[in-house]
Amino acid sequence: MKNKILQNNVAAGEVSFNVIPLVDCIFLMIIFFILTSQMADPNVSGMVFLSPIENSMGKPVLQETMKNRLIVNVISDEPVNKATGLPVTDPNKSGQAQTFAIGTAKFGLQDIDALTRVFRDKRAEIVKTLKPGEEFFLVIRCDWRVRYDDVRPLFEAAANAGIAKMNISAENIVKANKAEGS
Amino acid sequence: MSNNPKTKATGEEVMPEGRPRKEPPPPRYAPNIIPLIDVLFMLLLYFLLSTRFRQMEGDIPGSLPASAGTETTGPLEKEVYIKVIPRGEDNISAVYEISRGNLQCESAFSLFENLKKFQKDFGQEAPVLIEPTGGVRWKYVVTAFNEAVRAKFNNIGFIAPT
Repeated sequence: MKNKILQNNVAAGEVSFNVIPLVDCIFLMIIFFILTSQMADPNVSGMVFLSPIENSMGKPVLQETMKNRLIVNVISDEPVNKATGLPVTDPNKSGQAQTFAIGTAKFGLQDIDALTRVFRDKRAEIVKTLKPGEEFFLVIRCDWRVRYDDVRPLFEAAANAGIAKMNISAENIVKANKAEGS
Repeated sequence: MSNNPKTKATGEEVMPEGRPRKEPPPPRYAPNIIPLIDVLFMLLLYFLLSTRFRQMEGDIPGSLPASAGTETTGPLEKEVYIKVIPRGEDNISAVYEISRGNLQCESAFSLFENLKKFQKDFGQEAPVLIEPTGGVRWKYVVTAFNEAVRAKFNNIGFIAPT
C-alpha cells in the first residue's frame, strides 16, 4: 500500500525541495552586509590614495571616528566612476585640485582666509574635548595625482591658524615585498 | 454512536476489513515561507547594489611649518633637506635630491637607504625638511614623507611656503 502511494505521487509529478538551507544562506549574507556596511560620511569623500609598498603606518584607521583631528579633503577634478563613486584613475594624467572640503563645507583653492578661520575655529572646538595627553591633528586626504602646488594653500592656512601637527592619508595595505635589511 | 452493527465489546467502531478506524491527524499549520524568501532577496539585492568597499587608510605623521612667509634660516648642522623635483611629461615621475652630499635618488628605495645612513649619523631627532618643487605630484611628496618615517626620523616637515 505504501509503495502504491509513492508510485501515485511520482506519477502525479509532485516535486518539492527543502528551502531551509537557502534561507539560512541568505540570512548569513544579510548579517554580513549589515555588520560590515557603514553609512557614508561627508568627512571622508571617495578618492584614490598612494599605496606605498613598504609603508610606515601602523594599523588602518577610520578617520571619521577619531575625535582629535580635522579632516581636509582635496577634491580632484577628475571624473568619478558612477558605479563605485571613486575617481577614475589614469596614471598618465596629473590631476588638478578643484576644492577643499571640510565635512560638507567647500572652499576654493585660493580661499586662504576662509580656510584659516575655519581651521582656527574647529581647532578651538576640538581641543576643548581632548583628554590630557591627546594632540590635535590636521589630516590631509588627497588624490595621489594632484599637483603639490594645489595643496600648498592648505599649508599656508594651517600655518596661519597655528596648527603644528599633520597626518597625511595613504592606503594602508599589507607589505607586499620586504626589502633586504629593512 | 454509528449504525455500524460491527462494534467491539468496548464500543470501538470496527471497519469492514476488521481494522480499527483511526482518528484523523490534527491539522498542521505550516506558514508559507515564499514571501519571506522574497523579502530576503530584496534586502540582499539592496545591500549588494549599494555596498562600496573603501580603501583601508593609514596616517603618515608629519609637522607643518610654524609660520608662513618667514625666511628659512640657513641649514643647521644636522638638518636634512629633501627636494622633490618633477620629471617627465606631465610630471609623471620625480627624483629626490638630498642637500647633504648632493645626492640624487631616482627611487623611493634609494631615498630610504640614504636617509637611513643620515639617521645613523645624526640621530632620530634631526629635522627633515621636504621641499616639493614645480608641479610635482602629491604621490611623490607622500613617498618622501613615508621614506623619512621609515628611516625612523621623528621630526619631519615641510619647508614654510614663502
